[in-house]
Amino acid sequence: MHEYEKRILQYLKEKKEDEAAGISGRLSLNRDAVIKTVYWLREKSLVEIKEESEEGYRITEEGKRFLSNGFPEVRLLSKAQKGVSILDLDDEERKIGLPWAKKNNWVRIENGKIIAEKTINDKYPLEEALRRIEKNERVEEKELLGVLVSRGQVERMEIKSTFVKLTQKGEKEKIEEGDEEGMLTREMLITGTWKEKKFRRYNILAEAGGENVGKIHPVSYLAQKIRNIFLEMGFEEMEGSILEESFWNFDALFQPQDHPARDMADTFYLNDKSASELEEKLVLKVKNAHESKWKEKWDMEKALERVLRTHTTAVSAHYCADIGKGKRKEGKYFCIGRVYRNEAIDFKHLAEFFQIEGIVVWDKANFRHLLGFLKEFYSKLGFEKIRFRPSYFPYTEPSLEVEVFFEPRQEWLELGGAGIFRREVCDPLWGKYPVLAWGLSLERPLMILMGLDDIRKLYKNELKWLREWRL
Amino acid sequence: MAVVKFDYEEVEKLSGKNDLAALVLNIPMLGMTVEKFDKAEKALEVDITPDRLDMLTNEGLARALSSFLGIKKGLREYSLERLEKNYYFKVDSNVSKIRPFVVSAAVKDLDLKDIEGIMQVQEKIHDTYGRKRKKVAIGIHDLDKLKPPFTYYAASPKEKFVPLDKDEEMSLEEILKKHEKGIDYAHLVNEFDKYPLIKDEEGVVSFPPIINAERTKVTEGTNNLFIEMTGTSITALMNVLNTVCCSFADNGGRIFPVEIRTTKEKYATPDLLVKEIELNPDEVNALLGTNLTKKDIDGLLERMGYYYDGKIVKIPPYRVDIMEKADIIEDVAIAYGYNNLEPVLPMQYSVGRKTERSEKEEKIALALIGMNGIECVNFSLTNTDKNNKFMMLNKEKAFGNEQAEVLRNPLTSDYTMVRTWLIPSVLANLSNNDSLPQRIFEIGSIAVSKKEKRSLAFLEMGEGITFTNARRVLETLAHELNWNIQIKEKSHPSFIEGRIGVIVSGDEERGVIGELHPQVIRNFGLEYPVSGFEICL
Repeated sequence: MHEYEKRILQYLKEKKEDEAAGISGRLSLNRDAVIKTVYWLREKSLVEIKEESEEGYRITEEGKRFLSNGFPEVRLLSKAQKGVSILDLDDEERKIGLPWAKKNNWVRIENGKIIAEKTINDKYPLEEALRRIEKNERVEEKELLGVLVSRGQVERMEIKSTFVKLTQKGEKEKIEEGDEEGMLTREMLITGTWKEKKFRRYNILAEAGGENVGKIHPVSYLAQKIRNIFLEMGFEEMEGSILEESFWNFDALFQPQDHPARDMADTFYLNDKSASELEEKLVLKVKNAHESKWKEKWDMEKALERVLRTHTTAVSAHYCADIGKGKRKEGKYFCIGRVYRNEAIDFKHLAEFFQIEGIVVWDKANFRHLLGFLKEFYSKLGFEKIRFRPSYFPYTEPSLEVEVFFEPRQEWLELGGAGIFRREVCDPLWGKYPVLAWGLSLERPLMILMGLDDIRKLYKNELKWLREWRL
Repeated sequence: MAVVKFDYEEVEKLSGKNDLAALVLNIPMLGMTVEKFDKAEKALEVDITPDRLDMLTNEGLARALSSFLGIKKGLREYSLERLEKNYYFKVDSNVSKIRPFVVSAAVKDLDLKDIEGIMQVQEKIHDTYGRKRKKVAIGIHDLDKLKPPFTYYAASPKEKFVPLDKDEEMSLEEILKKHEKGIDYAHLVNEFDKYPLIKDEEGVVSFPPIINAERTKVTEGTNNLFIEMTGTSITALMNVLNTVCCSFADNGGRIFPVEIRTTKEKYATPDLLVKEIELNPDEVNALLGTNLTKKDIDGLLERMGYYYDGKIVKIPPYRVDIMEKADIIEDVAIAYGYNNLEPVLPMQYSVGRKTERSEKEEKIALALIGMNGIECVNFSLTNTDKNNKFMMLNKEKAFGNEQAEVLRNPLTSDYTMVRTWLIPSVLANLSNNDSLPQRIFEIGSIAVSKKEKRSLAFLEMGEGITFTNARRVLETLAHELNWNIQIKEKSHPSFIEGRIGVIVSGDEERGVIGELHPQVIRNFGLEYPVSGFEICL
C-alpha cells in the first residue's frame, strides 16, 4: 500500500467521511494527490466516492473594483443629488452608470443636467449580492446573478466536490507494513536486500495524471515560428518602440493630420508630449508631401504628440529613413511587435495585439514580388491557397488584402493588408522608390490554428490551458 | 470605411445590365466588400473604402461596374450649362475665420427617385471625408423654392428662422442648445461670437454646418436641386461637389454652375474638369512587374473609366482620389485582376538575421522552460490599482524613481497606463485552483521614463516556497546566460522586509528579487507564499 493510501485510510478511520479538500487540508497533501489516491483506494473497494458538481460564482477584477469604488450608477446618483451635468461624470459613470441609473428609474436628463429621482437610502441589491459573492456566500436571487454575470462583475464557475466514505471493507482493512514492498529504495539496492523482497503489484492501468511541464506561450510560439520563416526567406529583423511620435506613426506614412484613424477614439495618446527632436530636413520633406498632396496645412505640434503605436509600419518608417541616411542597407526587413488601438475589448477585438510587418526596400521591387513574398510566407505557415483583393490604405498604392483558404473549415480568411509604399512615403524617407510592405495579423491565424472563437482566451493565461495547449 | 445601402433597382437600371447578381460578383474585384446582397429582398449593402467617394452613390457604383464589365467603357465627360446671371454667392469676409469656404451648384430636370439615398450619401460624406461636418458640410435644397442670388456671411446668434422639420422660428443660439442637430454639432461653431449663415433674397436657406431651413426642403416630386457646401478646405469641397454633380448628371440632371464672389476673387463651381497625368507604359510595367503594351494598358484603363493614348491618362472629374501615377497603376492592376498576376520571388541573395533582443529572449525562455516554467503573455496596459496600489506602492516606484506612461484618452478604467513592471501581471496569472507549485514567467514590455524596456519576471507559488527558490532559479539563469549579477539588500514595500534584494550588474540596479509581502499576496486573492524576481533586460 502506498504511503498516501495509508495516510488517507488512517485519517478516514477516524473521520469516516470527508471531502477531498478537507483531506488535503488536514494531511497537507495537494488536492491532485488526494484525488489520485482515493481512486486507488476505491479500486480496492476500501472507499466509496461520490462526486458532485454545482454551479458557483466568483467575483471578477471589475467586480472587486466596483465594490471598493462603488457601482458607477450609485456614484452617479450621489453626484446627481448634488446636481451635476453629464460633463462632470467620469467615463465609467457616463458609459455604464448612466444607462443603469436610467434603467433603474433613478435619474432623468434635462438639458444635459442629471436630475435625481430618488435618494440613496436603501442598499443597492446588486451591490449586496456582489458583496455576498465576494465572501463566498450563497446568492439565491437568479435575476441579480444574471445581471452581474452579463455586466461582467461576476463569472460563472463550476465547483467540484469529491466526497470520500470508508466502506465496511475499508473499516476492517489493517494498515501495517506487510511483506510486500512498495518502492525500491537505495538502501535495498546497496545492501542487496532487494533479492529477498517481493514487490507489490502496481495498478499500471491507472492514469498518472500527466507531467507538470514548462511551456512556451502560444503567442510566443507562433511569433518564433514566423521569425524563423522570415529568416529562412532572408529577411533581417527590425526593432522599434511601442512609444512613438505621431510623426513616425502617421505623418511619415502620409496619413493626413485630420485622418479619422488619428482620432482620440482610435489611437491611444500619451499624457507627456515629446521632448525628442525630429530631424529638420526630414520633417520639411514630409510637411511638403502633405501640404502639396492633401492641400491641408501641416502642423508640427500634431506630429510631436506621442502615441502607443497603432501599427508596426511605424518601425518600417524609421528603417526606411535610416536607409535614406545610409545608416542601414537596402534590403528585406521584418518585425513582430505589439500595436495598440483604442478599442473596446470583445471576442473579436483587443486594445493591444501583435502585428507582423515586412518591407522590401529595393528599387527593382515590383507588385508581383509582393504577391510572391506573401504567397511564400503563408505557404510556409501552412496555408497553400492564397488570393488577393484590392484594398485601400493611405500609405500604399497599389494596396491589397490577403486571404488564405483554411481547409478544415473550407473558408477564405482575411489575414492582413499589403501594398507598395506611395512615393509620398518613399521619397521623404528613403529618397528612392518603391518599398513593398505588409502588415499581417498574428492572433487571427493563431486562433484559426488553435480553433479558438474568442481572441481574449489567448491573454487570459489560465495555467491549465497554458500547460495543455497544442496545435 | 462606410457601409452604404444602395437602391437595388436604381443600380441595376443605371449599370445597363439587367442582372444585378452578376454585377455584385464583381464588386470585391474592385476592392469593395459586399456586406449584404439579397435578391428577394432587393437589398444591396457594400462597404466602400474611404478613397472612393464617387462610389458612395447608386450612380457611382453602377458607373464603376458598367465600366469594369465593359458595358460602357472609357472616359465619361460631363458638361456644365451656361452660368445664369443671378446664380451667384456673395461671400462676406467675416466668415473667413469661422468657416471660410463655400461652393455650390444647381441641378435641373432631375428624375429624383431615391431621396433617402441622397440623404444617406450626405451622411456618409459628412462622417468620413467631411470629418464629421468639420471639413465639409452639404446642404441640398429645392431650387424652385429659392430666390437667388445668395449671401454667405457670419450672422448674429439672435437671427431667427424655421429649421428643418420644425414648425416655429428659432434663433441660431436656440438651435445650438435645443435642436437635435444643433446639440450634436454645436462644437463646430460654439467658440465664435457669430455663426455662418446662407440666405437668398427671401431669407435663411441654411445654417451650416448645422441645419437647413424648413422652407427649402426637398420633397417627393422635386426636380430641381440647389446644392451648397461649406467647410474648411476648398480642395475637399470642390472634390465632393464635382463627385456629387457627376452622380446627378448620370441620373439625367443638367448641372448649372454657381459663381462664388469673395472680396478678393470670383470663380464658378463646380468645374467638372478632366485632369491629365502623364504615364509611360514602362512605369506601369516596372511597378507591376508586367509586360503590358500601350494597347493592353489602354484596354485596362478604359474599363476603369479613363482615356489613355499611350502617353497621357485623362481622369474623369469624379475620381478625386487620383493624386499621382501609382493611383492609376493600381487601377491597371485592378482591371487586370490581382489574381491574374503571377506571384514571383526575386532571385536576389540576402541573409536573414534576428535582433540581439530576440536572440537573448529566446534563450531566456528556453532556460526557464527547462526549469519547468510556464510562459505567460499579458497585456502591457494596466491601471494604477494593479500596478501600484495592490503592490503596496504609494509614492514609491517599482524600481526607483521611474515615471509611468499615462494614457491621455483611456477607454476604460482597467487600462489607463502602460505597466512599469511585470510582476503584477504575472501575479495575476497565479491561481489557487491549479496544482502547486506553480512556476510562471513573462518576458515583455514595460514603459518607464518615456522609454520602452524589455523585462523578465519569474514567480513561484506553493507551500513552503521561500526566497531561496527564486534565488536558485535566478542563479541558474545567470549561469546559462553568462550574466554577471549580484544581489544587494534593500527595502521594497511589495516584499517581506529582510527577504528582498536588488539585482545589481556593475553599478546598475537592474531588478528586484524577494518574497512577496503577505498583503500583496492577499490583494491578488492568492492563498500561498510567492517568491520571484524581475530583471530589466
